[in-house]
Amino acid sequence: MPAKSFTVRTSGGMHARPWARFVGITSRYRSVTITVVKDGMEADGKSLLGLLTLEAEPGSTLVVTADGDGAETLLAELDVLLAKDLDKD
Amino acid sequence: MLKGIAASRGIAIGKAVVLEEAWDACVLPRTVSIDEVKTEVARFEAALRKAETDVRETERRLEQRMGRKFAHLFEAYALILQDPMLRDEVIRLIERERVNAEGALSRVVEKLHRTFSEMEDAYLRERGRDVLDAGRKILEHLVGAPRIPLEQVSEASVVIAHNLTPADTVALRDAHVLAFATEIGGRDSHTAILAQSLEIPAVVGLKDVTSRIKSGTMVIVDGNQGLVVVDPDARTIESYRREQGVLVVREKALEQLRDQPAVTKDGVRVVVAANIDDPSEVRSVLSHGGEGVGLYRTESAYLNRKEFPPEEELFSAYRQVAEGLRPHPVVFRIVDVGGDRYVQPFNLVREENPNLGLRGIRFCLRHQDVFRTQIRALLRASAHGKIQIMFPMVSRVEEFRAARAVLEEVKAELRLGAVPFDATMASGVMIEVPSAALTADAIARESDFLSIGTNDLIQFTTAVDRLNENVADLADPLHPAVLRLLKMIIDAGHACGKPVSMCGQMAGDPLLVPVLLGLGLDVFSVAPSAIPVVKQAVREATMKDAKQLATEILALTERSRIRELLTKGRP
Repeated sequence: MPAKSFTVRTSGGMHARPWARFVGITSRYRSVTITVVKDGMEADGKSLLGLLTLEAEPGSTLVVTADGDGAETLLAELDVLLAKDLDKD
Repeated sequence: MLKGIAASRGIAIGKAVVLEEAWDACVLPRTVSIDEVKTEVARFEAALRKAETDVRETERRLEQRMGRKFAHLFEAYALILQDPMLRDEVIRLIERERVNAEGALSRVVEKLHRTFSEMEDAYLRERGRDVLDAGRKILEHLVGAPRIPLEQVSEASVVIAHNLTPADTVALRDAHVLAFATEIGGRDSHTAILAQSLEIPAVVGLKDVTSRIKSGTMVIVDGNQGLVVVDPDARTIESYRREQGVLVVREKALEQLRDQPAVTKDGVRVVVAANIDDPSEVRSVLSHGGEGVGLYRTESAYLNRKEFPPEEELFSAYRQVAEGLRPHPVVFRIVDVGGDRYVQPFNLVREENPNLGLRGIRFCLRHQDVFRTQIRALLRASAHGKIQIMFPMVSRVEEFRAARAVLEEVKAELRLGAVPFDATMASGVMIEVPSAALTADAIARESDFLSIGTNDLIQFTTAVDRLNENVADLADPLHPAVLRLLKMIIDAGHACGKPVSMCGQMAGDPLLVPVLLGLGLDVFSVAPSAIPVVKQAVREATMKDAKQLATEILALTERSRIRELLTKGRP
C-alpha cells in the first residue's frame, strides 16, 4: 500500500483552510481510501473534522497512506500541496 | 441594563425579536422499527442535501452582496456537511442502533462538538461551534421548521439570539433589522464581522440575554459601549435618540471636517485625537481626521489568554500603529489589567473590590516581568514613529517615579544591546484617581504631560459604580466636584508648562466641549467616530466665551442650573 511521510510547512499549522485544500484533493479520488496518521492518531483523509482533530502543528510529521486506484497520483498531488506554506500561498 | 462586548458601533432602538434555538427544542430521540430504518436514512440524506444547497445559496448571495472575502466563512460549513465522519456516523447509528434521524444526528454532532470544545487551541474550539451550526442546519430540514420567524422580523426589529450564524445574518439583512444582540461571540466573531460590514450595531457576549428579554419588549442596543437597555424609560430613549441624532450629524460633518484644524473662531488651536484599542482602527482615526491617538488601550492583547503576550507580538502591533499614524503622536497607556479586567494568568487572585485593587501601575510594579516586556516593546516601536506612554491608576507621585525608574532601566538595557529607540519619548501620568488630581501639581513637575481619564475619575470622585443601573445616573461629569478637579489638573499642568489632555467619554460630548476649552484643555481624545463632532464644536466656539462659560459654571453647585447654563442658546 503506497505511503508517504510529510512535514507540516504551513506556518500557522494545519488549520481548517489548509486542510480544506487537502480534502479538496482527496475527495476527488473516490475509489481511494486515505488515512492520515500523526503521533499515533489516525484520521480519514477525506474528513475535515477528523483531520482537524490531529492538531498538526508546524514541523509535525504526517504519514499519509493511500489505497486504491490512483493512490500514487494522489500522493504526488499531496506532495506538491504540502511542500508549500499554505498560509502564504 | 445588560453589559456585553461592543461588536459593531452604532445605536438602535426597537422591538426585540428573540430567536428560538432550534437545537434544544426539537430533538426527540426515539427507537425506530426495522422497517423505518430505510426511511430515516433517506430523511437524513435528504436533509443533508438541502442543507448543502442552502449553504451554497447563502454563500452565493453573500458573495454578491459583500464580496469574496466574506464568502469564505462558509467554506467550513460546506465541508462539515460533506464530511464522511458526520454522514457515515449518523447513518451507522440509524442502522445499527435503530435511532431516528434527529436522535442520531444530535448524538453525533454533540460528540464532535465535545471533541472540539476540549481542544487546547482556541481556533479549533471555535470550529466546534461550526459543527453545531452545521448540525442545526440539517436538523432544521429534518423537522421542517425555519429558525427565524421572518414574519415577525420587521424593519424596527432588534434580533436577540444565543448565537447568529453567518447564514442567519444574511437572512436578517434582507429583513433590514436594526441590530443584533447575542449571548456568545467575541469582537472577532462572525456576528461582529458581518454586523460591522452591514454597519448596524451589535453587542455580543451577553450572558442569558435570550432568557432575559421577551419578544416584543422595547430595547436599546448601544454598540458603542456594549450595552443593551431592556424596556428603557422615556428619558433614556430620549437621550439615546439625541445620541443617534449626533451620529447622523457626524456623517454629514465628516466630509468637510476631516482636513480642517480644530481651531476656535478666535484662533485658538487644540488637538483632537482618538481613543483606540487595536491596530486595525488606525484607518478609522485617519479617515475621521484624528491628529494621532491620545489613548491606545493596550489591554485587549492581555485578555482571554493563558499567557501574557510575548514582546515580539506587542512590538509588531505597536510598531504598526506608530508607523500608520506617523508623524502624529500615539499615546500608549501601560496595561491596566486587574480591576474588572480579567486576566487569566492571575485569575486565582480574587479581590473583593477589584476596581480599587491591584490594577494599573500597582499591578505593573508588582509584576515587573509583565511591565518590562511591555516597556521594551514600546521603546523598540518608538524608533518607528512618535510614541508616548502613560501610566494608569497612579495615586501618588512616588508610583510615577518608580515606574519611570523601570523605564530608565529598560532604556539602559536597550542601549547596551544597541537596540534603537526614541530617547526623547515622552512619558506622562493618567490622572484618574482623586488623590492624583489633588496632587497634580507635584505630578506635573515631573511628568511630561497629564492625561485626564474621566471615566474612573468621575466614578471615584462621586463614589458611583457606573455599571450599576441603580446609581449610574449619579455619575455626573458636570458635578461641581468633578469640574473643580478638572480645573485643578489643567492649571497644575499649565503652571509647569505641560500639556493636558482628556481621554474619557466626557471629551467626546460636543455639549461639554466649550466648558473644557474654557478650562484650558489642550487635547481632546475621543472615539474615532466622535472626532468630527468634537472638531465642529471647537470650530463653533470662541475662547473668550468659553472662558466666561467655564468661570460661570464653576461658580454653580446645582445640577439643574449647570445644565441650564450649558444648554442656553442651543436648540
